[in-house]
Amino acid sequence: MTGTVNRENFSRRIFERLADAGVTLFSYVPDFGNDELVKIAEADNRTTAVLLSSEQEGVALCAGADLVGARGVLLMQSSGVGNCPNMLSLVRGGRFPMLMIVTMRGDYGEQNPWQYPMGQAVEPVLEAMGIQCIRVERDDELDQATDSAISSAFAAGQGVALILSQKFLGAKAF
Amino acid sequence: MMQRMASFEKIRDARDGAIVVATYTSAFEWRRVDPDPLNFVSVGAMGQASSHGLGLAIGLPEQKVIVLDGDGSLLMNMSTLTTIANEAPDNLVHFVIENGSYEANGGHPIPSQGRMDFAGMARAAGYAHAATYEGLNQFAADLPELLSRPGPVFAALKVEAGDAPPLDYDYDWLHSADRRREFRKAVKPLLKD
Repeated sequence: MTGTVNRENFSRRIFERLADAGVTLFSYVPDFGNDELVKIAEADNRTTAVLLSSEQEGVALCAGADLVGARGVLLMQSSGVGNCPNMLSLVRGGRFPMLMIVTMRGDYGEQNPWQYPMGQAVEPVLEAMGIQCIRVERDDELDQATDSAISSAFAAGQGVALILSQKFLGAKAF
Repeated sequence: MMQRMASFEKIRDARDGAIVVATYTSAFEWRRVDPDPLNFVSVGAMGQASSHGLGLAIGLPEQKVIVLDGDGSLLMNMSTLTTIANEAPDNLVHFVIENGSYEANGGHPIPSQGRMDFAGMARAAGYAHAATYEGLNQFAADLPELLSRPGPVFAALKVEAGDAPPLDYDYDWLHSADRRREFRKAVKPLLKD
């Protein structure tokens, strides 16, 4: 494990910002990088965590929630981005806000070669579908980046992904 | 086998203020049977109707949500069965209109045509109730119970392919921002502060 980031600390900071912005629905496919955030969302009585079987479901689920005035976020590992593009048609076609948090594999310091192809394609794929990418490399960027992503999604009604890089998260030794 | 239009008329009669999420060809037909602002039309990417429905059902737990899914659409997002069963929203009713074909793009057969037991899949995934209907009379008789029992409820409706009169594929209507505005306006009185 490289990097010294405290997962409990950064997850709590992201959570508080999302909860303050009225995000109540945390849909996710589990990943090492988002498990603390999910645990916090499960424990907090303001929020609900919804375990998905495939990341694409979360795009449609968050859009459905938006229709009835509920704000959602979609959490996934970088590999899950590959499951989403067709569903992301909704964001442009239906003008839905979409907030994603992508925890990276296959970038800085990755030791598993299988993670590279999708990891390196995350931002081009998201951008091709009209999703703005806000990348976090250092801890002191996190709070402002999270606020920016929230504003983009819920004030401006855009599709946006907060990309938590492996430089920030630390690269796993597996 | 039943006529899709006839099954939709039964659902309309039993709807009782429920939100209805209809997808692809079903959406056009449903629009004709029951034009209501509490309809949400799910198109743009196959398979998303049930995930939309789950989002609506979680966001509005006191409100009945009916999904009119397609068999081809469900196949494109089959993992939704597990996700819905695990979340277990008791206000969600998931109908699959089973005509064995990808009707919206020319009526090509789906891979599982005639072999797949969709209700069996939903039951195995853990839905609270799952059933298959071949005939309209039995479906009509059971419909009040399907809509009132705790969900998630699943029912596969075996319908004849392409039984509708020529449909008006009005994509302008389908994709219009006005449609979603109309829905949000209709749903507003149902929201709690």
